[in-house]
Amino acid sequence: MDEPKDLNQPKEKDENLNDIENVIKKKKLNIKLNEKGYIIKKL
Amino acid sequence: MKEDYDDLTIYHPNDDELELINSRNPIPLRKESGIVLRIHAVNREEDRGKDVFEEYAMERMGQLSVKNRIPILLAGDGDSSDHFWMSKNTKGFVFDYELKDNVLYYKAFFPLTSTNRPVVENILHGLYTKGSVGFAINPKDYICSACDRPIVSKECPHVPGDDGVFTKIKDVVDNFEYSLVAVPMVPDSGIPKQKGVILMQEEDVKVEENLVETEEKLEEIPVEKTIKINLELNEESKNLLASLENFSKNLTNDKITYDDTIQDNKMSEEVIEQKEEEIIPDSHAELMGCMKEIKDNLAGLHEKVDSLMAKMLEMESVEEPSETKEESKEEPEVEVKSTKKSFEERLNEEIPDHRKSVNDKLWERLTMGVN
Repeated sequence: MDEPKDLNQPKEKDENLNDIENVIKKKKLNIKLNEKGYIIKKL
Repeated sequence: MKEDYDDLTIYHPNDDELELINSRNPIPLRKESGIVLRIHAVNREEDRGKDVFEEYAMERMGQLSVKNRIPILLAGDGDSSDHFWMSKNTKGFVFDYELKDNVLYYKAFFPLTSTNRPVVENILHGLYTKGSVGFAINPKDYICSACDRPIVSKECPHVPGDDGVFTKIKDVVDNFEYSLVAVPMVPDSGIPKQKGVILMQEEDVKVEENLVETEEKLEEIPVEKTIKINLELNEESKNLLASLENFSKNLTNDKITYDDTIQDNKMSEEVIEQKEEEIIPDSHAELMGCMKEIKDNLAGLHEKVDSLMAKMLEMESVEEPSETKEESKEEPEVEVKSTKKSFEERLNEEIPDHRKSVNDKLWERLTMGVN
C-alpha cells in the first residue's frame, strides 16, 4: 500500500494531520484518522 | 428448529469454495463444517453518509477482503458499539469476492461450531441481515464531488450533503472487517436472500450464454439453406407417416392371425373331446367283455376242480375195505398218496395252462383295443 506522502516526514505529518483534523471538525465530518493518518470508515 | 436446518445443505461450500477455505485454514475442514453466505458489501449508490464508491475502490476492497481474510464481526453483550474489534466477536470470515452489476459481494464462511450455531440460526432466521464495511482511505483519495479536491483539504470549501455535494472514494488502502449491524450506512449492505441471489444468477448466466450461442448459430445459417432443410424434413415426415400406416396395418393383420389361431385351438380341443367320448366307451365295453370271459373260464375251472375232487373221494372210498390187513393198510395209503400227487400234478399242469390261455386272450383283446 502506498503510504501517504504527507505522513512520511514527521514534521509535515504532524502539520498535515492537524490540518486534516481541523477540517474534519470544521465540516463536522463523521470520520476519524488512525495513527498513520488514514481515514477510518465504517459504512 | 431442526427442520429449519434441512435446507442448510444448499449453503454448504462446494468443492472449489472448500478448497479456498482450506487453503488458509489451520486444519482442513469438511463441507458440513459450516455454511457459505454471500454478503452484499457495498455498491456504487450514494449512501446515508453521502459517500459513493468508485469502481476501482470496490475492486480494491474485494482484493483486500480476501488478502486479509477479513472477519465477520458481531458485537456482544457489554460492547459499547458495533464494529467492536474483538476476536470473541468473530463469527465468520471472507474467503472470496465478486463484483457484479456495480455491487461488491463477499463470500463468507460461517463455521457451525457449538458457540457459533446460535449466530448462524439468527442470521438464517433474518435477525442479523444488515452489515457494514470497515476500511481505511488515504485522505487524498477521499474526493469532493464539487471541486475534485480531497474533502479534508483546506482548499475544499464544500460539505457533503450541502447542495448535492457528496464524497467519492477513489481507492482504499486497507480493509479491516465486516460487521453485522442494525442500521448500516449503505442501506442494501447485508446478507440478502441466498437461494435467489446465488443460484439464480449463476443459472441466468448459463441460460444467457446458451441463448447467445444459439442465436449466433442461427445467424450463420442462410435462408436458402433453411428452406431446403425444411423441405427435406417435410419429405422425411411424409415417409415416416407412410411407414407408420404400414406398421399399423401389419398390426391389424397380426391381430386376425392371432384370433384365428385361438379359434383353431378351440376346434382342436372339441375334436379331442369328441374322440375321447367315442373311444372310451368302446374300450370300456371291450374290457367288460374280457372280464366276463375270465369269469366264465374261472367258473369252468372250478367245475373241473370239483369233478376231480369228487373222483378222488370216489377212489378213496373204493380202497377202504382192505384196511383189515396191515400190509394192505399201507398200500392204499401209498396209492392214495400217488393219486393225490398225480391230482396235484394235473392240477398244477392244467391250471397254469388254463391261466396262460386266459391271460393270452386278455392281452390280445387289450392290445387290439389300444391299437
